[in-house]
Amino acid sequence: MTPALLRPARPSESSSARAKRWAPYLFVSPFFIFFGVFALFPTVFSFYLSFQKWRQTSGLGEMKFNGLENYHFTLFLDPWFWKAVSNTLILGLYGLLIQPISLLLAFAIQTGLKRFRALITALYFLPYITSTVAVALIFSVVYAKNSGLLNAVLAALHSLPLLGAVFPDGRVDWLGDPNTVKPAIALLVLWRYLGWNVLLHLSRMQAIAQDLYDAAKIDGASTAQQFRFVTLPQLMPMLFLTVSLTIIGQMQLFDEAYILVGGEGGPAQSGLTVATYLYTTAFKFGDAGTASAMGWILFAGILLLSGLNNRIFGAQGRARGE
Amino acid sequence: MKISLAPLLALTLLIGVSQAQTKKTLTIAAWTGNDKLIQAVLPGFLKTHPNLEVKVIGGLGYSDYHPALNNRLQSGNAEDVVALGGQFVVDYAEGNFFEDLSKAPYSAGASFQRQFVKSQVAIAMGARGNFIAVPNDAPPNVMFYRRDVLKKAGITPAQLSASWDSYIAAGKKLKAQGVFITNGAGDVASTAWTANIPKGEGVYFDKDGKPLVDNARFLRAFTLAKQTRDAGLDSKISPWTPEWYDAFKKGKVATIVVGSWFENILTDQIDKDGAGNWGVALAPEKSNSVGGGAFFAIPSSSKNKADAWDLIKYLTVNTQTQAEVFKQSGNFPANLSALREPIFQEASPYFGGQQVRQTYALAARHMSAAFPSKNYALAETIVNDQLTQVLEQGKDIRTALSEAKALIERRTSR
Repeated sequence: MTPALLRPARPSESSSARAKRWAPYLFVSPFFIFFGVFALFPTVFSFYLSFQKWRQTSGLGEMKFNGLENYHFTLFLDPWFWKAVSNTLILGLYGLLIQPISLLLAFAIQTGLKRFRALITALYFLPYITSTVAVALIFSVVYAKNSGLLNAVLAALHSLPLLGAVFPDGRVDWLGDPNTVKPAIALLVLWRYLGWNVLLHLSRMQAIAQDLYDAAKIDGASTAQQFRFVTLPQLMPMLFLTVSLTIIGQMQLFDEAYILVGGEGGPAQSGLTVATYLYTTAFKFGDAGTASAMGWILFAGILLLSGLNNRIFGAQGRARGE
Repeated sequence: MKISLAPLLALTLLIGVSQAQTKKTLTIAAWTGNDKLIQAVLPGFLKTHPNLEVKVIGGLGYSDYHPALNNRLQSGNAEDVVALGGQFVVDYAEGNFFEDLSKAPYSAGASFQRQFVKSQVAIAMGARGNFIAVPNDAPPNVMFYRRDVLKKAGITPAQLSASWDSYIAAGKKLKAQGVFITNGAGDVASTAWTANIPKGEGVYFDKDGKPLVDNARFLRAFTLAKQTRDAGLDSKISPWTPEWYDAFKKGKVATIVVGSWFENILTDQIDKDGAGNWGVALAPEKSNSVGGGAFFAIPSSSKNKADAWDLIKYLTVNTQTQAEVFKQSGNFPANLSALREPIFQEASPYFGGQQVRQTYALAARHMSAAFPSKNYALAETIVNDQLTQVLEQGKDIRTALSEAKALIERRTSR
């Protein structure tokens, strides 16, 4: 036994040992610094702001504590907030359509188009990474009233014999008529996020053991039955994830609504979402306190819906997801 | 023989550094468009201020620029000169971020302010009598019209300008020819309610901040819009889309009341080959109001206020700068003496030899000095929403206006 070992280690630490001890913290620090500045601080600050009366154009010193007034106003006195909530929920229901469509598409790609799987997935994924500005420009052409692409297609379908009566005559004012604004936004959302969901489902499908399918085939299961009794149950954990992501994404829907109808929600505010309304309240009406309160109410809503989703899919997902 | 270069090098460096230090840096921030214009006219300013280096901070569009600027103001890091949009001038005039230019050393009092369009000066005057920003440009709303289309229908531009009733009557004539007189019935309403405002009133609020949106001005504006829509006189195309451009180019829509800056968009993008097809007149019932415009202000945190003030004066008081900016961009001068520059007398070949800038100047003199108020954007959004309900969903006009008033009161009384 040497005396050196008896001495407490720290004071005698050589500088290189000290460096070694601190090095890991140094290497992970960029994340914590960025997280602190761009995520933690804004979150805490917005919570603080939600209890203040403050216009951003006056200094920080002008903030006045006003208790729960912002929450009270938003929840009980502001008809636009509830309009935005109902719009967001309706758009959310439209948004959930993406699940069956992407599921079937992924299954079709997985079973029928194995050779071109990579190419097709890439094509579906393209809208997800297209810049918002380009999307806005293209869709203004698609949804144009008199010369729009969508209306041209509808007009062509309308002129078909027999079947034609099913389709509108191609004079739909997609972004000008309060009744068609939501479907227009929903279609853009579907176009944009379909590829992402297909990709997630496909990745899980590829992980399903082939022998399960082989066993099903031996038992005489048809393709539809294989989908119903093998693929779907095995997909539950992924379905839990994609439904969660869809709910969260839909509740925070901003880009798609904003580029089509702007921050005020278009005709009769039929395209006003909670997120675009929050943005307009903060940056157009200059009321940061109320906008922050809205943000926290939105958070509570998402938490609630995610919990509900966990109840429905989560338990099953965990049970089957080994 | 070997000479050590080190001392020489050090000396050169030292000289270089000291020279660089004698040049002071002045910074100016503006949104996209204005940033390039400032850059373009800077050489003239640097001639009289050789020891200055001016940095233009730009690149953000109008709606992103202001929140970003606000952050810099909060943290005391704003530039020496900043551009502000009208509504932001009104809001900032209440706080203490900016220098009061009516006081020494600037002393931009009444005689200084008289050089500018009165509607813009009204915006820059805070409730405390503080004058926080100098108007740079003041685009008047005017009516652009299709000469060829009107001629074919036997309508004169004077008939359109005379009154809203004769404008709507002309619209019915045009409709018979398959032409819409305007793109949006809503534009008719907003043009009518933002103009001819009595002294001491704002567009949406009176001097005490009470909403005015159920008064006769709004009732009339809503009624005119409803008449326009009911008679099917508007084409209802989303503005600023390719389809909208096309409607003007093909003469499907005969008039538009819009800021004078529309000239550049018309000649460059919408109807490049349309020389002779277009003309400019005063809006119906002289409903000319200011449509936007920039102001320049000095943040109190600026370290170089003297040079900042010089630069603002160069941009706004110097009539040659104002004329040059107009030439490059179509930004109509807020400084009325600039209208004496030759460019404003020129006949424009594109408009069939009409002196359109004289029409802009006439319109600029008609713009009412509306009392500025905060919550402008809020009131505007609420009124526009009620207007859509009237036009799209058949809501009763009086109900819509009293609801608008209640909604505005509920929000502004908080």
